[in-house]
Amino acid sequence: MTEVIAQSHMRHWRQDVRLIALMLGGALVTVYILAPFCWLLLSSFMHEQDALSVPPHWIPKNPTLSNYLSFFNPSETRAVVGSRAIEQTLPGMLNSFIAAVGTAVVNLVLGTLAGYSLARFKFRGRGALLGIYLGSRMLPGIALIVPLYLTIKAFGLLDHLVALIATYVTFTLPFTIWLLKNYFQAIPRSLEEAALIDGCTWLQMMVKVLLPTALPGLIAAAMFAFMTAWNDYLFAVILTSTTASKTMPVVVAGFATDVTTERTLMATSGVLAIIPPLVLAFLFQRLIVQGLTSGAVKD
Amino acid sequence: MASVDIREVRKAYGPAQVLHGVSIDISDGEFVSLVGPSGCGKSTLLRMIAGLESVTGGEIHIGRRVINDMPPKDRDIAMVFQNYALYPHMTVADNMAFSLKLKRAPRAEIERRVTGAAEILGLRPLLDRFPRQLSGGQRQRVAMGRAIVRDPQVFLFDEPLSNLDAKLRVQMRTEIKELHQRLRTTTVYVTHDQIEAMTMADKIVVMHDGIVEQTGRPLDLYDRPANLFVAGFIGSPAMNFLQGKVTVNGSASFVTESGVTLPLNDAPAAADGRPAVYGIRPEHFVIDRQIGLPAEVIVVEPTGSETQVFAKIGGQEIVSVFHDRMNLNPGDIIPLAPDPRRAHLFDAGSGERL
Repeated sequence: MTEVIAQSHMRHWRQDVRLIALMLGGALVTVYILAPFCWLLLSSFMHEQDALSVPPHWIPKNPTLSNYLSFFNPSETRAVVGSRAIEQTLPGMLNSFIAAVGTAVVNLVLGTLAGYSLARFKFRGRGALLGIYLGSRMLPGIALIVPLYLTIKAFGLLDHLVALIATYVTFTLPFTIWLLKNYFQAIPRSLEEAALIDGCTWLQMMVKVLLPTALPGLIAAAMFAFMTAWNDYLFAVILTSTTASKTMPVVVAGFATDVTTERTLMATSGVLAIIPPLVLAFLFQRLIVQGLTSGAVKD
Repeated sequence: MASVDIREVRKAYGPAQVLHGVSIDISDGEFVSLVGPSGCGKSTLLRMIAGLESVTGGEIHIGRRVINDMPPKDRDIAMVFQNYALYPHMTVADNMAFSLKLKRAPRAEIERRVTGAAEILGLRPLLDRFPRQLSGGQRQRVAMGRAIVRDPQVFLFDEPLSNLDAKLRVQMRTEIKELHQRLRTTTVYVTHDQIEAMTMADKIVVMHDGIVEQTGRPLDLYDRPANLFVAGFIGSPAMNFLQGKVTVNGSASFVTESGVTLPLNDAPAAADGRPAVYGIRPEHFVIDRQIGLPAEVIVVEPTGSETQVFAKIGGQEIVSVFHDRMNLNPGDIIPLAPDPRRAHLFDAGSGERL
């Protein structure tokens, strides 16, 4: 009897240890992911001397909003170095937003049509097309920089947001097509047929039945395209030169010059750059998680 | 409501011919069941009536209109799918109202029809739910509700009960039949389950390999199957078949390959001496010490209401069904006598009824 109790205690103890270990592991990963972000966030509330102090410390000694305010009154800024970057931050953000939203929209329109066709129709070369799309993902962006630059220059689109959107679409669309193709394939065809019998034209069926059903997939695809465009530095730094098309990552990098680096301002602009995608993620999180398709058909 | 007239309809996918000239007359208000094994073309035919598959040859009429090339939305039909195909992003009420909204029916009219259908199907308390919140049986009812609100000329059912568990299937079977008796809408119902077809339909169309084997009222098919396929497909447990020869000298009889003589009431004179198949349903055996043939019991399966006895007569296995409790053991010899009035004869070559 006592042996049994002892064994049961042992088992519980083992389970507890396992749980604690898992939680510790989880905490470590969280710290690893969030620490740089926290440092960024905290630095944005520091004075420059504070941020440069040795040894470094996390908590700002005299927290200040001056870094944030300087972005909204660029003319009164104290910084000599990086003042150009400050002026470019808000336009940069707008450029980033236009480029990212443009990329997402083009991805959705083309990705939906292509994904649907590849999911529903059998045609010659279908497999080859899919293979090529996938293969194109394996090419590193840097390998294409020079030809891409020359092509865009030939079109006279340097320092133009259209060039950025076109570039991002080339890199994101193959993945979007694959994603949506798989998503559409998982939606039973009878759902479309029911809509056609219920009185829909093909277009009505797409808009009223298929696309709403595929909404989580569409949002995932749009988010992916948006984030890729939002985060890109490589192409933006090559293809843009003025506030006409400079995007956030390029502007943020501008705080580091040959002379010196304005760390707190750079951190602040980093925080500002995070806000739009963060807001979008929160907005759509529920829709992605909701699992809209369950219940449409017998599982 | 309308009649459906299917004339010499063919379907081919490239070189593969799926339907080889199928003709079926479905009267106004009739409940017709298309039944047959997987791959016989019954679902394809239904989908052609719905407009989801093109028609390779022949004509399909709904009422007086030829609908071969008409898009599904203009055919005035409603279809219930095997997997229900409910719109997952719409509530039960919206699912049912969808077709009426597309037609821009007045709001009050939509309201009236949806609540009417919900009333019939017992869906009133579920109108605000989403499909994912419903059980299988409830989803099936919503799918039917979506069909009912349209008040179509023809209902098409594509194996609507296959995804339900056995008990629910029997219940829904009754509900669909009751619904038809109430609405009297022309109905085409596809199933591979011959019991479903037998119990529900006014008329059964037995299909096999892209042709119609026989069309008729359920009990006519059961009592007078036109060929071996129908005889074997309709009825459970299936009809027993014994190979042998017919003799028509004086009194007709049938001699099996193993030499056992089975009684026949009569047989066409032309059948004399021809190789044939003797068909007898399991319930058409009696135990009779005077005329029974010695049969060795192999397995006894009591179901409560009846007893199925698997036995061997002259080396050939047969199954018989009795409505009494049978106290039998494997190895027992019982005198089994087929009822000669209920025997069926088929040509061994063509499989046609003699």
